[in-house]
Amino acid sequence: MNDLLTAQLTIPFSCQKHAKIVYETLRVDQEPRKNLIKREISLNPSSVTVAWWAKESRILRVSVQSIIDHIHSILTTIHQFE
Amino acid sequence: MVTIIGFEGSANKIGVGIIRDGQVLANPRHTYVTPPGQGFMPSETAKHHKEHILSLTKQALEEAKITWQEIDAIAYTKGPGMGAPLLTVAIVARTLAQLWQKPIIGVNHCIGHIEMGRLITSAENPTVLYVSGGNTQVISYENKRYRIFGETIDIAVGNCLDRFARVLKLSNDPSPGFNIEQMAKNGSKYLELPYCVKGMDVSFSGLLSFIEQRGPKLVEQKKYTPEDLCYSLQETVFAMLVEITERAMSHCNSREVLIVGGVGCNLRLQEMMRKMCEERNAILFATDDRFCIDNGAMIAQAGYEMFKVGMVTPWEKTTITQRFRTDQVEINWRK
Repeated sequence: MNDLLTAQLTIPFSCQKHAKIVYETLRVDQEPRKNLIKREISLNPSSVTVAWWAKESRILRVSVQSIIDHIHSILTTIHQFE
Repeated sequence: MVTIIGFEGSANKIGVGIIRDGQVLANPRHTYVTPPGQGFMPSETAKHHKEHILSLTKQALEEAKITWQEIDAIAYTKGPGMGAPLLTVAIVARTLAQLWQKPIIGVNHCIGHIEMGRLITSAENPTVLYVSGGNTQVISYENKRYRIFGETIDIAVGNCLDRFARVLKLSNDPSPGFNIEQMAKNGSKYLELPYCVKGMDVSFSGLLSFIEQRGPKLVEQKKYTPEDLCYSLQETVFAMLVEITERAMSHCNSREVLIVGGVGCNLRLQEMMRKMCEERNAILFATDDRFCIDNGAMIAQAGYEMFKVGMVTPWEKTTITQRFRTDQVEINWRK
């Protein structure tokens, strides 16, 4: 497992509350193909860090893209309904 | 007074509904319509839902004339359905649950259909025929579960209709099934198609292959019109559905039939089922397209029943699942 592809994203938010909502919303879902990709999400008061380890670049790309889409969706929801 | 907002997005419809003690306060929805000859793919459908869910939520709150503070819980479709669209909706539901600090309830889509049908028609203990683009089941309530008496062993009846509509390049607006129904009214020459009932179960894939392969040739040779084919297809598949529903009724000594799901608003299916019911001295209950076709209110209604018996979903379990059988849910709100 030492030839894994990795990626890491740290996204800052305007306040701790928003970061917490993003973290809590994202942490629930598991990666659909657990044997091919691993994902960890952590909350560091006002930012969220997502880290990936994957065997294939395609699977890594799909997961990163979908997390970014979800974060966008969460933020739009927050802005329209807070 | 209990008020629930429900989010549905398991297939190509995104809907947000608000229910307060059996009253539908609002139920707007938007359908992702693809060009003729094309079905809907998961990622495009998810994108469509994402674009419309927030404006539909606002619209639902406005139509219901309530503020979010008056909502008691948020219900969303946990499954079954297409993964990407389900997840898009679940993400928004989770975000709102935190923003508004409300409990969240993951609802089985099929249970949503059944509970909405029961609410609208006041059917007490019906044998349920659930027919849509993704599901075909005959269901009866027994000892805290909606038990599946019969179902399709391959594709759903709605999927069979939709895919034949693609062969004929019928419009997907408002739905392929609706356009087949209209065409069938002008058909008269019956083409014998494979009739496949296996005990309590049905199968549509062989029938679909048959009509997909021969249909276009028969039209080309001017032996049958597209209208005749729509008519033949409807008569055959609906006869199969009526047969297994009747057998389930006879088994349970039931005097009520409830048709739910998108195909359930087909008037020809309702007519055939009504005829069978009359012969058996039973009553048919059906609803129109507002409540038959996927909508948010049905998820809110199932969520309402669950909320009242304390079936709130723990946060870690607010996931989605593409496979989620009707009989997996314990129906604690019924005797």
